[in-house]
Amino acid sequence: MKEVLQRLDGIPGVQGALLMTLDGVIVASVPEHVDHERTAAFLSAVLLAVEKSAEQLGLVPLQRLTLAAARGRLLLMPVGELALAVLADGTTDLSAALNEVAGLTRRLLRQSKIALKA
Amino acid sequence: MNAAAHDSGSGAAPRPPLPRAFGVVGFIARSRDRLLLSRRLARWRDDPSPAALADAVQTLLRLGEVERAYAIARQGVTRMKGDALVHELWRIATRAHAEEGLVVAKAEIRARPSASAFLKVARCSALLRDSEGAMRALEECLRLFPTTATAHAALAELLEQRWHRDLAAADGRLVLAHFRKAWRLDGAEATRPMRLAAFLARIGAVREALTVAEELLQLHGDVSDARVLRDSLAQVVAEGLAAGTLDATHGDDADGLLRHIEESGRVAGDPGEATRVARESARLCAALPSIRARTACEKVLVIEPKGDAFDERGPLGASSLASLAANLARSAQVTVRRLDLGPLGAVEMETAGGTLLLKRGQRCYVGALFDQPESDAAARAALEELVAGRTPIVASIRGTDREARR
Repeated sequence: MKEVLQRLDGIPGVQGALLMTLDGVIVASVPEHVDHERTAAFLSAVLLAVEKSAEQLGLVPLQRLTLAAARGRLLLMPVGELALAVLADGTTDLSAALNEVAGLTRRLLRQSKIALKA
Repeated sequence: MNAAAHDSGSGAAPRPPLPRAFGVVGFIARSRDRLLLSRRLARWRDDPSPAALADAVQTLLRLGEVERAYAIARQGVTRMKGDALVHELWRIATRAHAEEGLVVAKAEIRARPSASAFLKVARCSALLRDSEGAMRALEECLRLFPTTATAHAALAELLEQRWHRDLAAADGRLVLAHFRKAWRLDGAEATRPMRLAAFLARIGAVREALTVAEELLQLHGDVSDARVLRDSLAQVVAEGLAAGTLDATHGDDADGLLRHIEESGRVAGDPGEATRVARESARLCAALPSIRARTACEKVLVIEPKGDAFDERGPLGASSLASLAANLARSAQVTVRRLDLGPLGAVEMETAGGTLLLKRGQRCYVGALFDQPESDAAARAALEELVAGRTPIVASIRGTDREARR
């Protein structure tokens, strides 16, 4: 999983990326020296805060959540049972990179499920 | 026959190219203005009226005599303060004067940079409502001449204006730092510590504000405003300590208070805050019909800092959309603050069932829920324009009506 995230880490403007469970547990993160636990915890809190009313409005499933602030952007994208979160600057277009990483992660998740079944 | 053939084939002498023709017209107009100038100035001198002032000021401006136009407009606004035409002429002349001053000051900086030239650029930029340009000039001034107290004070004032708009903790910290530096560099000027104390009091650091007011009184015992401020702050501190709202064991944490304000998106206890929020909310609500018309998006709303939702008809009761928008705005605001990303600007929640877009104005958020992916860009642009104040208002909601509906 970390290798998949490395693809995002090399993109200019990306300050960090992590894969987490929807309740905030980190599965993998880059770069290593950054403390991603707070990011995961807060993003999970955001998801929890909006879950019920989003369901009532038929706004499911979530495809992407973007929080744009003065000094950067936080993007969250569900990938299977996990979520991919990226901390980036406010300008870089990350759509292609995010989709690529999400695709790779989905494939890895499928492979690991197949391996578990076997 | 096409138009070009008609023009060239009519046998008449060919017309001069358009710019040259305009140049001739301009020359004739200027010559006429020059001939009439003395008569128009005499008319203003002998029989001052708004019409005479308009003639004189406009003639001078057309002739490029901005300084004289500014001086005469100033006379006019002193003599006929209440007249709308005079006020408008004063505004036009001030703007022209600032534009000219900006050019001169920039040339002065290129030839020989000085603190006064940078201050002039900042003043002219501020008059032209370019506060970012003014701030850049002051920052450059302080980089080259770091002990210019006036530049520190002016930068603090501009940052304070921006802080009022964005409530960014970083701006608040800079306001405090620049006012303090300005005071330290020039202790003879009493308005800077007064502003510092007022800002500290506004963010809730009343004990720090009281200390500043007391120090100011030791230096300038004759400043009556400082005494009034000191007395009112002393009363607030005493009441706060008695009621237990102020912690007697710890001093004020100005930085913590600024962070709290940024996170909550409002200045608790500021008497002007409720009015500011209501005014912004009313302005945004009044523009919602335009947003609907432009984006074909029916579900648009305004969320106030406390989480109350409104549209142009008044408050929206409890609904899933209002609850989702308020919760999303609140939790996103806390998240970006805790991750030190600065004030939240926008939130976008894209789902298979539609997209919820929230855009922050100054205190309030405008939200739009749209289920057509093709309206995505239009909605984003419309909300951007709305929070920037560029959307026409098609319905007006008077504060009193709105209050009654609450």
